[in-house]
Amino acid sequence: MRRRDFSAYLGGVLLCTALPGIGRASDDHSSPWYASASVDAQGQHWLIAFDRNGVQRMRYALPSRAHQVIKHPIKPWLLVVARRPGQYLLVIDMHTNSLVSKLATRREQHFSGHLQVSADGRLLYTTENSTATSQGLIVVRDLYAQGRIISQFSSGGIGPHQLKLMIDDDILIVANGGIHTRGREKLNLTSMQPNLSYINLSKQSIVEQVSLAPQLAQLSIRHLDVNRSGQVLIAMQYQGERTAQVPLVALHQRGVALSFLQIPDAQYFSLQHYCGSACFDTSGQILAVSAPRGDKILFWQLGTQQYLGQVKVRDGCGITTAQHSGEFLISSGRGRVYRYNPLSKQKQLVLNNPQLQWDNHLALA
Amino acid sequence: MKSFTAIISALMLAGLALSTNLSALTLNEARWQAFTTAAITEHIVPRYRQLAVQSATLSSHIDTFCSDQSAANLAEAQQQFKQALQAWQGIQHIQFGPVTLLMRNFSLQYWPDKKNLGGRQLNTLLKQALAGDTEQDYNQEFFARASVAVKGYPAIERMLFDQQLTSQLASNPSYCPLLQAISHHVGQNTQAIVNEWQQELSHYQNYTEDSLYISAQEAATDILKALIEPIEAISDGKIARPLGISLSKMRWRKSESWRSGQSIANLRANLETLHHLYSGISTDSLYALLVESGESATAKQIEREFLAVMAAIATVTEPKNMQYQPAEFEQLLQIQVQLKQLSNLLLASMKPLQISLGFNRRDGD
Repeated sequence: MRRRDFSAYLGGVLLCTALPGIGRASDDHSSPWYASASVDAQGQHWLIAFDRNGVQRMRYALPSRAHQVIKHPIKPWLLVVARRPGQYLLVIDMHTNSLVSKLATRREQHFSGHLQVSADGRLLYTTENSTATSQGLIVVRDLYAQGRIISQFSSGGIGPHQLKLMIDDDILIVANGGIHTRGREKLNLTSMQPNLSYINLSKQSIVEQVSLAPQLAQLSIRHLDVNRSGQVLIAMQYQGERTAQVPLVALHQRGVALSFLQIPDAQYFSLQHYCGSACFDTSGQILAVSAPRGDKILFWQLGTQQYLGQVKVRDGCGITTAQHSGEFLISSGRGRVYRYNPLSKQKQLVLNNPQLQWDNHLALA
Repeated sequence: MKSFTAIISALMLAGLALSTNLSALTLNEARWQAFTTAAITEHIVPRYRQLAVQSATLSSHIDTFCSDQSAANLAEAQQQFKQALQAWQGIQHIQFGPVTLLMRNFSLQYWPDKKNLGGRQLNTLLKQALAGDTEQDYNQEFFARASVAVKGYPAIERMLFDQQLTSQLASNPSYCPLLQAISHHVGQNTQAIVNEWQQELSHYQNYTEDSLYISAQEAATDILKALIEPIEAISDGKIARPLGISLSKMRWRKSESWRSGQSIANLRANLETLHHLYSGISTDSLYALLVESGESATAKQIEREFLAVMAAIATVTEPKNMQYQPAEFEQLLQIQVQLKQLSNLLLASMKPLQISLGFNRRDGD
């Protein structure tokens, strides 16, 4: 049995066991772990972390479906936020498998599924919605003071989804998806006004806002990533005509117009206007966007904006950087995790657990 | 070997985990292969053949009518349109394989057409033809550029049944050439799907990590999706939407084929074909697989639900003057409840078979 098959097998076995903390037999965390929300065959939601060999290292039972997970930059904590309209945000110690704190929103607000932590580890930023109007909010909490809310201010639009800190921590980039929702029902598809907002955190004011042309107003800007040089990759979802050929992926840099990335015709319609996650590789030069309805992940080169191709991953949605430049880790709703390099086209199965469905986003832990 | 202890403990637990977790009898690859083969050879391919034959016949009936525009020839073309439409309703649920190539599915039937694109595009084309000096050539290049709304069955239906359009038959010399061209185009498209399915079969014989499907079970998942997912879509799109929220709000013009009076006949064809895929194919149907997996009660319950809802739809007629009476309205509400039950039963039956129809793709963020 090859090593990776063996590890994959273990990934499957470990989840079935009821004993917590089995992965702690070896406490080595010198190489990165990966973490994601997931759901098992019984419908129980879990926060799960596994190592680069696909061996499960921890799991924590979640009260309901979650969305993004991130690792605290300093402490051994995983932060996981409920899926929108979300009611909880948990801070979990990944080594002791215990709850550090449970945070809630203010009344009449809910979490939107994404979060960020400042490089010094103190400040937690979440996108939230005013429940009645879907007016977007950025809420700032102090993680070192039990998550006390320090301030909150407008996200610059309706229905904010993902947010990202730029490298110097002073600017927060927010994808305001533009969709007003009640529960998960969409209410304003014909009058959407999505935008990408850059918020200066010390002034708590919007310093730049990118909107879409009126004919593209039904493109919900939902997910993004930013590299060290401030290039922003955005992945969108179109709410208009099923046969329209509109851009779904774009690059942005402050002060410059949006630049739409090409998707070949042969792939385009299989995506069904739906992109999941956006991710730069460790070099910040290779871009990846998942398209779970098209069962594939698409890749581009940053400099030339050249399309590099796609890899088939059934129900694949979560993407994060792997160790080497050009490499990505990709998780799927079919319980699989792959390591893939779009330049060498090398695809390696890291973990295969058919009892488990990996939820939308995957994180480096 | 850092994780050696973890591996050993995991292996010790493996037996325990397997014995508790896999109470249902799991189907092997050979059984999924048998299901997939049966579904393709007994359901998908023959029904596409039927579609191509009926569409070619429609095309020749339209040719006959155009060479002699008698009332009898029109009636025959209209009658044959209904045959072709019913053949399409018998295979409309398949949304993978050659039909998805370059938007063929939308070309064959652009529906729902909420902005009346079909009507507007046809009017534009007919006006252009009258205004132009030279006769318009409705060739391949024309169809490459034309809107999807004028390439399929709904466009033919309008040109054969819509009196506002048919009144132009005598006055517009391009009317018949356009109608003939669309029906030939549909004939070619459906024949191409039949031909391409022959090549497609290899995808269902060799399964590797890099082929279209990793396993027979994964291939079967696409077919199961085509069986289960349309039920809710039919209930919502073909019944709930044209019925509206109350009798006075009923808008039968939102139904699928009201011009040819086939909207209810479509429902019958849809349920008949889904029922065939469920239990009508030889010994390797989903019904049989459920029984083999120890789920006889579920298998029989689904069969009963299918028969009950089909019996209920059999008694429904098209509305007179586009308006139902309260009793008929109530009848269709009841059918929606039955379809919901059927859909829920089928969705639940996937769990013991360890089939995931898609987590991220069906309900993402």
